[in-house]
Amino acid sequence: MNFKELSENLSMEEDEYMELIELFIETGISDLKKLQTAAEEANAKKAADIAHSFKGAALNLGLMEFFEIAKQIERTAWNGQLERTVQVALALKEKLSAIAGFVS
Amino acid sequence: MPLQVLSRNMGILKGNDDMKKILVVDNHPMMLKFMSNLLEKKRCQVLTASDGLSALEILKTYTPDVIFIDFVMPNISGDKLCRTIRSMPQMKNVYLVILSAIAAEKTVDFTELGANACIAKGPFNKMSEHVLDVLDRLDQKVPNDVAKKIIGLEDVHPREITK
Repeated sequence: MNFKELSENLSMEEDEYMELIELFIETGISDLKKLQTAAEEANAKKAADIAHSFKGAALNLGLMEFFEIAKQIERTAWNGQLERTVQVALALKEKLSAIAGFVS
Repeated sequence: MPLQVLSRNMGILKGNDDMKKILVVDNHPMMLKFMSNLLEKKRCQVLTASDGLSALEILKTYTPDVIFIDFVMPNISGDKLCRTIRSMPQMKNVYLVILSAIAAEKTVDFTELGANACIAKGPFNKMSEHVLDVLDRLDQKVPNDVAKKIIGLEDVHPREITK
């Protein structure tokens, strides 16, 4: 992931962008755990709301791959496909953990 | 957590009286950091709150010039918070701006909530422009009726928002 290019796309200093990415990852990992729990408890609205928040944050940072996956999670939650919601959320959490390694 | 945020930012309150006083309410730490960075660069005094209850606590002792409020938040939603703030006598002149990620998904009549403007959440470079435009408009005392459309909706393509 080219953070320099991503920060330039948003007319931001790379340092500031990295600071925001760190918060995105930290909050995202915590939120995806909550999303998984919500889906397992059949709380579709809560799961969709968490996915919505994640999706918005990804769009803020120009992380379109994360945005698209979160959009899929939000859609499956609203459609009541909660097993699928958990599967995609777990895949997203893995991707997020992978970029956490680059950032730290 | 909200009190930690408050104490961390209290030093800013010792600044110049001419500085615009701003409160940002959003449940996402990244958005609070982004808005603080942006507004502090413009020499604003910035306090942040991570939910509506914390915001109301801050407003007991702080009267901002502008409040930015996230529309979708746990506990107290942005629309309820807007109405509550607008009903407080000491807040009747505060400039309320809704930050909304759902603006492209459903109709939001933000003026009915007592808000003065609504900015669609999108890429940070676009949001920066719109937030600073709103502050400029406030400085120029542009009437509210000029700002009745949702600002930045064109930056959030319908295909990017799904519900």
